[in-house]
Amino acid sequence: MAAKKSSAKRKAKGAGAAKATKTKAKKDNREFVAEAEEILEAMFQDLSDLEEQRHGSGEVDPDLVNRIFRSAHSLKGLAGMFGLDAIGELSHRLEDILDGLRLGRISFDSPVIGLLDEGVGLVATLMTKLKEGDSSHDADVQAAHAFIVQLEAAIEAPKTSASDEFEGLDIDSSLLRALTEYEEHRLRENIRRGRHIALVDSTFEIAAFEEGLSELSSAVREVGEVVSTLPSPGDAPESQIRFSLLVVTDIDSDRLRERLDYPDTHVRSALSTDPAAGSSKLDRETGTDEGGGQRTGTSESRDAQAGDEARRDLASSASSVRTEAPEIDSLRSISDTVRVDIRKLDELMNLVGELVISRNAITGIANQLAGESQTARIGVELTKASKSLDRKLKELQSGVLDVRMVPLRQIFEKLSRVVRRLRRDLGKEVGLEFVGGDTELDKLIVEPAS
Amino acid sequence: MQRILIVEDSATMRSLLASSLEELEVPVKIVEAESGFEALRFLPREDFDLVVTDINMPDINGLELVSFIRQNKKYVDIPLVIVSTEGSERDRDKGLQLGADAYMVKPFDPDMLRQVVIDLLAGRREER
Repeated sequence: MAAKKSSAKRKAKGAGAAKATKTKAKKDNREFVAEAEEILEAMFQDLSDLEEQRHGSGEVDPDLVNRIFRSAHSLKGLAGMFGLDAIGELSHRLEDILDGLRLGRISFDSPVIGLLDEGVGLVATLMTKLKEGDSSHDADVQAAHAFIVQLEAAIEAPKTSASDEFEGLDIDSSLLRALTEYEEHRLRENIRRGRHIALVDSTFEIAAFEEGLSELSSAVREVGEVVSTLPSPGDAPESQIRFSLLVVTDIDSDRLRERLDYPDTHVRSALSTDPAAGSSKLDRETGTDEGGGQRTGTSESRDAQAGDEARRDLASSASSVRTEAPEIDSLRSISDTVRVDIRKLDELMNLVGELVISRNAITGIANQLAGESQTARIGVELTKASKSLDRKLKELQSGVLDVRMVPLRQIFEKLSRVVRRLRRDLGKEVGLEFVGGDTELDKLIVEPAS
Repeated sequence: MQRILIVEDSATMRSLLASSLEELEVPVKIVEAESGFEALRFLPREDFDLVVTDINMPDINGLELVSFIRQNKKYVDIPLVIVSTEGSERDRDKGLQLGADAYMVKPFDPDMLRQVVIDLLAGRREER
């Protein structure tokens, strides 16, 4: 993705604070609606996954909860910029709940979780009205306000979080200083669970670090969680970049080191009160420590043992019951899609139609030329070219049609929400199974049906 | 020409930040990064005069980006503005402690953002 230089034609020119944006044109709202719809769609899917995890294994993926929180957070920020108070306020309340969940202040058994779906649904309703340019949706705004009151009443008093200062952790203060509140919570929560804490340092060429880092992070996620990814200048700051990954895993640092056999990558336990163990950075390429000395299996084992003891001490000092650590999804979602206005695709489709007419004209001329003895040769050549054009046109037509296709699942996602609400209201287990949700239909057919 | 790097994962918010900063009274070139990683790749390419960053982003967060910039001799003097949605006081304090020069809450007032940026750019010119 290249840098996007600013342009005078920028759609959102002059947009800004609520006071300045309330009079903004519908065009700007369209920009908001397009991004907000994408966010809402992801939220519905993620909430559905959350519900499945709660009612399935009972273990909830923290990345999933954080992702839903970030969605509500983004929605709130965007709504605020466009002066859309009701959507902003509703998103704010949803964000509060999600913040409480991700920071462990609200339990996953809390009934307030059941209201998340409804809240997101209300935001979607307000968005639909906004999209349709319906300014007289007072009833929906009132419904939103009533819902906010309901949410506030349902939110439990926040639990106070532990105030330990990560004593016993051998982590550079620069890394601890850059942890967000959420990341601090994840670290604390994993210590409480008695998981292994490790630091993975890896150096990359700055021009191409993403692929290597992504591979490294994925490998870590197969056995644990990446709490933080802190970049710092490499030994050659002009061309290199170093990343320190603070990770929590179910395996000790020795086993993690075996799994992360990448160049210029060092793994060490961050749970150590033993300075010798704390500084044992093993060079994966040379098998030497930082001082250049040959490492022995015995000293590594001692380090691991010291780390294990420290981990036990730290975990036992946290006043909570250990629970089974969850398996963490190894894949991080990376968006590789672009959002395109459907009208642009319509224009493309029209152009394809016009090209087909032109192609027919060319075919007619080619046939005519082929029929005359004097121009037969050129006529045959033109016919060949026309057939080649025909094939490419068909591919183009199929490609444009393909872009317009969306999975049928979208229509039925609302049913999932109805089922979840039924499950909550009736207190019964209700299952809903979709088959063939990936079947694709043209967006114009799916939209009216949804 | 003042070169400003905007780091923000929301396309709409990036657009709003950029359009606000285009109206500075000085000529500006705005480069937009849609993630912290993209910002790390863009930083060596230009001599930026100012960086505006969000905190909550999917790959590295804004605090980690601020920490990186302040640790790097080449970028240590670049003025930094965090523009984040109202949230954790703690994250805000951390951002300032890590070396951000200003912190603004979304929804931000474009006039106020411009004023903060103008002041920081003027300070940088004086330092030079």
